[in-house]
Amino acid sequence: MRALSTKLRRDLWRMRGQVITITLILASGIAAYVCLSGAHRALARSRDAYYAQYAFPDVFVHLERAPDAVASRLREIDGVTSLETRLVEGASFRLAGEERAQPGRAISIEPGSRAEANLVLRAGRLLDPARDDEVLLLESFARGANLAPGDELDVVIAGHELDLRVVGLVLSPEWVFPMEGGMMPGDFGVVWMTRDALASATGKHGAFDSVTFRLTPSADRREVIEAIDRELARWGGGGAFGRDKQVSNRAVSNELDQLESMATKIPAVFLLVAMFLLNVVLSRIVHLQREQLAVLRALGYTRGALARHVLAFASVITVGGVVVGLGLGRWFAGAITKLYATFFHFPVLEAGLDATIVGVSVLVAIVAAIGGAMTAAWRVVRLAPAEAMRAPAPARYRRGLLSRLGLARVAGPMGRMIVRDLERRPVLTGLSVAGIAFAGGIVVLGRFSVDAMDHLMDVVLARALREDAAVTLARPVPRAELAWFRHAPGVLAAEPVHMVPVRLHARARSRDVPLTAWPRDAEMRQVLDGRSRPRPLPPEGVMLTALLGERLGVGVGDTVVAERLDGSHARIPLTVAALVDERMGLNAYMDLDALADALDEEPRMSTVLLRVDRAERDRLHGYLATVPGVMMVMEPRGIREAFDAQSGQFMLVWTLIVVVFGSVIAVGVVFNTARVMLSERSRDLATLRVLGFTRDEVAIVLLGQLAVQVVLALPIGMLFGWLMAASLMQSADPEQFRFPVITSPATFAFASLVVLGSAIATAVVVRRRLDRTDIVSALKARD
Amino acid sequence: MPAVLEARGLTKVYGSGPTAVHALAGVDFTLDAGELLVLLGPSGSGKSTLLNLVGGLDTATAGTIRYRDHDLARADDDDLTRYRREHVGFVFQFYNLIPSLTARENVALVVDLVDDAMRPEDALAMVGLGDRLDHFPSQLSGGEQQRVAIARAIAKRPDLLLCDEPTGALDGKTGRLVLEALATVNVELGTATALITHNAVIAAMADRVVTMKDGGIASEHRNPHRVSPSTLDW
Repeated sequence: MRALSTKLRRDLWRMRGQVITITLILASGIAAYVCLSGAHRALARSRDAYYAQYAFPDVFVHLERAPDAVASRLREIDGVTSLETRLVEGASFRLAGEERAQPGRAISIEPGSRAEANLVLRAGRLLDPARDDEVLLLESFARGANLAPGDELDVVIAGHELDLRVVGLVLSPEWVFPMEGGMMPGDFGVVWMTRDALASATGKHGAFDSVTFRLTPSADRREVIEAIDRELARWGGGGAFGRDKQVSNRAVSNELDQLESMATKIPAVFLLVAMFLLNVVLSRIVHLQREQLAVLRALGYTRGALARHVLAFASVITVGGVVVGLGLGRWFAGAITKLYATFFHFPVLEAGLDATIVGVSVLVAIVAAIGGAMTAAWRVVRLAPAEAMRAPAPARYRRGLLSRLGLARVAGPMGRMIVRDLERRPVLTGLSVAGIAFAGGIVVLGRFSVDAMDHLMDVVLARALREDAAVTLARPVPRAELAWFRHAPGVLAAEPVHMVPVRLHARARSRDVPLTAWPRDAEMRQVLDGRSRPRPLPPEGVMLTALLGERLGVGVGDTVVAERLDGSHARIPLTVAALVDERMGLNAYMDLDALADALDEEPRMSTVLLRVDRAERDRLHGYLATVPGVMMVMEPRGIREAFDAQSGQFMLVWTLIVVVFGSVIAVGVVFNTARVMLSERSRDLATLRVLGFTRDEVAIVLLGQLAVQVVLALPIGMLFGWLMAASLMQSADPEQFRFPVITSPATFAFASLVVLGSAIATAVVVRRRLDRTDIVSALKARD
Repeated sequence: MPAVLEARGLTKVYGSGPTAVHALAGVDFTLDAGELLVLLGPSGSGKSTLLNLVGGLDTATAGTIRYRDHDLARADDDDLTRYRREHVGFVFQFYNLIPSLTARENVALVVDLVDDAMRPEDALAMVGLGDRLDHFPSQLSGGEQQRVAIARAIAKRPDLLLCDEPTGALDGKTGRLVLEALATVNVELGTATALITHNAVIAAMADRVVTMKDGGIASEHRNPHRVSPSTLDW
């Protein structure tokens, strides 16, 4: 078989352009798989190890306030192994040089307790029980604010301005993704201080307002949560919840779910394209070499030997793809994991690459190679030596649909050649169009999260949240207090919002949701439907998001029972007055007066929306920071800035990766299609040159055919991208916040540019090769 | 008759150094207006190389070729393209039709290139294919395909018609039909025609016969009168 090996080597070298591009596509698929799976595993392992080692609680609950004695009753609940009671208060961080205070939390902690042991000390020391001005600061916040142990920190808690000293920087499994209240993680600060110090600021001596629980492995979480809610009902319990609703953990889990979903979808695209190209190229080789192969058969080589020869060609590509893919993937996985580490704060980043990922990569590459080489190998096996020695008949053409529609007549001879060639092999044309379309689709998919975020920011934030600032109050106050806010410095207008946490029941089903209310004539809040059109609140009854209606199995006119989770546990029947196709998951909305009537109390508010004179903004913030009832001030505009600052680099790297992947596919498909066309058409093209057509005119036939495929592929690619994004979103929990499946014209333009750029660069290479074709020798080629 | 094309000391060398192949070694050659010339010779004698140079498909290593006022030896690629477009028709052994175009469209391909061209239908009628206009090459026999190629070559009323083994892939009967078409074109349009063959029988239909050997001209003679291709037998 030495002769066959030599032939293989020379064939590979001669077709190196095709071999390299297909290898790169296969390598990209493997790299995408290794990188996404690797990053997924690394993050999942880091999270699991972190949660296990630092005892991330199983259940959480916030309440008004309960005396310490209540803790022992909670401890007796079946399934609870341990619990920590604590105080958790809103805090405003006033940093030197910053105009505005940063929102955050202050959490109480007993020096020497288990809770303290569950913090990861990264720098400095733990709290001195004898001092009440010391705090531990969340490391991620400290880094952003440039604070270190020993620094002074000015924090406003419950209206009291405290001068504190940072003694240690910590991480906590509860704050892997530091965010609360808003939609985006801003610069969210968390400090831990002694129970006495925090109680002094809040007046909650001998009491707690937050509890975390660890459960036995066999505990029924639902039952435990119900028991906790029963115990805490009279203490203003806000409804216990599990890890799945803990803000930080939910963000981490959502991201991991999406990584996992992408880890199968994106590589599948590459492998399909690699398979298709391998098939096209190998079939072409077999076709071009039918005489050589027939001679080899005549000389006595077996069918098996020749089939193995074809498979060997594919296996070189497979080995190359696996090696390059694993190397690239490992590197990408490291880079992506590190990028995630800027959002998700783990003490240790575990390695994600393991034998399973490598094994799966190899296996999948082999399947792709065999799939791609199958047809060609089968043709070799069926090749009859005598038949192969005859010159092939001219390719059969007929008038296809486009020709019959008169397109060919309009198009002139060059256009006719293009149209008929595309029509003659609809499957091949379709597959290469699909291949190029995938290239565009990958770019669209990669940019989709940016688009969705932009849409969210620009449309939802700008149109649904129209206030300049939202002031979250420590506890609801009568609506009449609005007058006080209207007179605060710089306030132009103020509107009330009341959010009541409820458990909505409909027959046997229930969901915990925020029931949010504001006056029907309010200007600063709006419910937007799926097309971002405002929907007015009904005068009576409740408006549910369509998904919530579906989950509860109710429609307009049905009745749901709202069980209050903010203390009273009163059960209030509400009529479903409208459903809205909103994208924000599970929500319920009411008119403020209608809610007050239903709750049988005076209208109250838990948040005040403000329209602010820009010139007075900083003064207002300074003023609000000293008001005891104010827990947090959020500015929708600030959300955007915080987001851009945090995710800029991440998006850049991510975009770069998808552009590289998209270009690899586009170049690979266009180049291989062009090379196959060039080899099939070289005789025709030489004939045209002999007849007196110029190089430019002849190039039109070849490049025009490519151009038609690329142009057809562009809109299809956009559709593919959209579909892949939609399917990615399917994997996100719809009851949680969900990105709208939105792709902007800018993304379409960008994806088209990537594909067109790759295609044009490839066309230039092909054109140069075409110009170098020797007319005389091409004329003699019989096929 | 005046010479349409005249070559002096035409030399073509492929490669260089000890492996160089001298395909043509200082050939003098003329083609007269309206004549039908047959170039005879075994494989490797240099006749295809000569035809490629005369047709502007390739450039000579040394020597001159003048077509009327064009100096082909000094022409660049664009000049040669224009020369082929305006003055030369080619017919090849394997027809070289564009498979995706019908007979009529294959002919129309060249009609678009020049001003004073024949209608494709007329050109096809002249070679006896007036009833096969809308057939694709795959729907035509070898002889029919070759006659479409001839129609395509003559439709632009070229000054030179160069045929490289036009009957090489055909049986005797079909070959005669093709040769008749060539003779008709030569007589009716007065196109100077050079026909390469290794089949000596065909020489009888020519005005003049040039025999080549080892890259040079071995002999040359003029037939007293042309024989009709229909009477040739091989």
